[in-house]
Amino acid sequence: MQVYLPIAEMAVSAEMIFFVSAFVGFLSGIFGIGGGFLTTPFLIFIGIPPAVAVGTQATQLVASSTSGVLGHWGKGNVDFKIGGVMLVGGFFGSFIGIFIFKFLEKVGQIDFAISLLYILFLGGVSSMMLIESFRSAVFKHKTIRSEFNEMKHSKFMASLPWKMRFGRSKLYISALVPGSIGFVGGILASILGIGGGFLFVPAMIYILGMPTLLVAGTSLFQMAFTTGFATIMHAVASNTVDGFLALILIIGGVIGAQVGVSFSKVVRGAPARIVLAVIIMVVCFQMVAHLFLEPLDLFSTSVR
Amino acid sequence: MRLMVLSLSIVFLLFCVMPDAYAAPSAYVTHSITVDLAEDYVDISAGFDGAHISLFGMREGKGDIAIVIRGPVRDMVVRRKGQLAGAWINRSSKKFKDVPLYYDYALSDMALDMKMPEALKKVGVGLSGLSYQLHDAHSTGKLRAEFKDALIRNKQAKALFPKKPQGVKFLNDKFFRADFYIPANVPVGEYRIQTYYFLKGKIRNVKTNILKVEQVGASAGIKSFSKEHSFIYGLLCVCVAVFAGWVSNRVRRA
Repeated sequence: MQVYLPIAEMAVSAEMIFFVSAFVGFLSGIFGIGGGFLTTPFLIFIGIPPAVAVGTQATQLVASSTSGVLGHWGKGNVDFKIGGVMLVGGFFGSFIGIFIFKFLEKVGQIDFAISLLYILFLGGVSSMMLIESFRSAVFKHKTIRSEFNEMKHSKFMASLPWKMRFGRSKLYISALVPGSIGFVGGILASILGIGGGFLFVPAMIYILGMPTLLVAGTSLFQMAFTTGFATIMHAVASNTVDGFLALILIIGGVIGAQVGVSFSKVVRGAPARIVLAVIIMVVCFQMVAHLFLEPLDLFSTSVR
Repeated sequence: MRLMVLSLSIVFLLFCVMPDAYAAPSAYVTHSITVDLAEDYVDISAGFDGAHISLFGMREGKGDIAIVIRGPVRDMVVRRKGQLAGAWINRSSKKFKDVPLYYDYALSDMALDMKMPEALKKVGVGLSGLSYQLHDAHSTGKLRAEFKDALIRNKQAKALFPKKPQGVKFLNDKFFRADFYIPANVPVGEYRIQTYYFLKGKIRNVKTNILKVEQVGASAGIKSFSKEHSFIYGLLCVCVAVFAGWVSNRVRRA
């Protein structure tokens, strides 16, 4: 069924978008990832203008992260104080990110910037994940040991001002650290249309030294707000949030996630993570190829 | 006698200064054409998947018919990729003024397309006749042509420009019709359809019709609301998303 998207001003196949978002939702149900890094490139690939893809994907992330944070909240696994500090940084980040996006679009380098950032992040994350999950599958030992975190005791971290006590996470650190992590996440949400979970989780474990149990819930908490803010910013600054497209993405994502969650009870952690790492790597390689192989047509056009 | 000469010369002078246009209609009588659209609007609703536009007309005489349909115009940027450290990125760009976002044309005689007469080219019949200008005047002819070709090729790939002209079909000696297809990715706005009556190297008559392409129903509502109340629109999108997330969480727990 062809559906006309009012903001993107084009017709797309509703089933195709639904199945892709359901598949991504399925993955996110199993692995607890947002999946923005898979959906946004797909939307751009089928011809939706990058600005609309990013703005609309932000809306879908609001739904998936809200659903996730409610689950963690119910189990008491959210540190609202540290999440709130990250949020302040996240607001500034997504605000600035919108303008970076508009600037890059104006000078005609937005596609390049998006590809490059994706390649860097996806490549880095997937190789890290692959190594980590291989290790834990083969050697059966834990690699994430936040209790013995070196970074949070470093001289640099101790020298930063505005120290705050975060009781829930048992931390006494400068508010600048979680704030700047949120800031980077906000920029990414605005430019790439991703929640940034794959960045937050390692950053909160290795840089902040938060208890692993609280990491997922807290990152989802701040993501729900940052992506919500990014949605409103995209709608106001450039009118690039497509309500119809968002609705299809949300419905597909919600249904897929339900299936994924019930599936996650039967899959084993480490092998599943290897599969995910490989999926991410494939996406990454595809982007590298796109960037380095000579394009069929050297020319592209856009409306000024 | 002197009076007669004077009055005659005044009449003669009057004829001389009389504007051309004033005398034109009488010259056009034998070349008259009548043109109308089957529908002068295209409604884009949620299920829109492109539309066919039919134009009907009648001509007096034996001249050729050339029809041009043009969508709203915008400035367009054409960018050329080049290699930088192995990666293909946009290196150079050219800006074109007033490019129609959609363009198509129809001819009663396909032979015209091989060697488009200057008079028709001048009014924008045929892809070679599209008259948009480069913003910077410094670029050389070859570079300009390269970017212009790329623009046309790119538009053709999106079915917004034609690869070859449509035909004008004659139902009998006088009546003709032409059909155009507007794909699903067309921009909304006012489309101008100009029908030229062409005989012996000259345009003898022209008729203009306006086609309105608009979003209607739910999709139009969303579009206009998102423009006029962008903040509330954004907020609503977030609310819907939060609600969906909440529902999904409820279902999961149940």
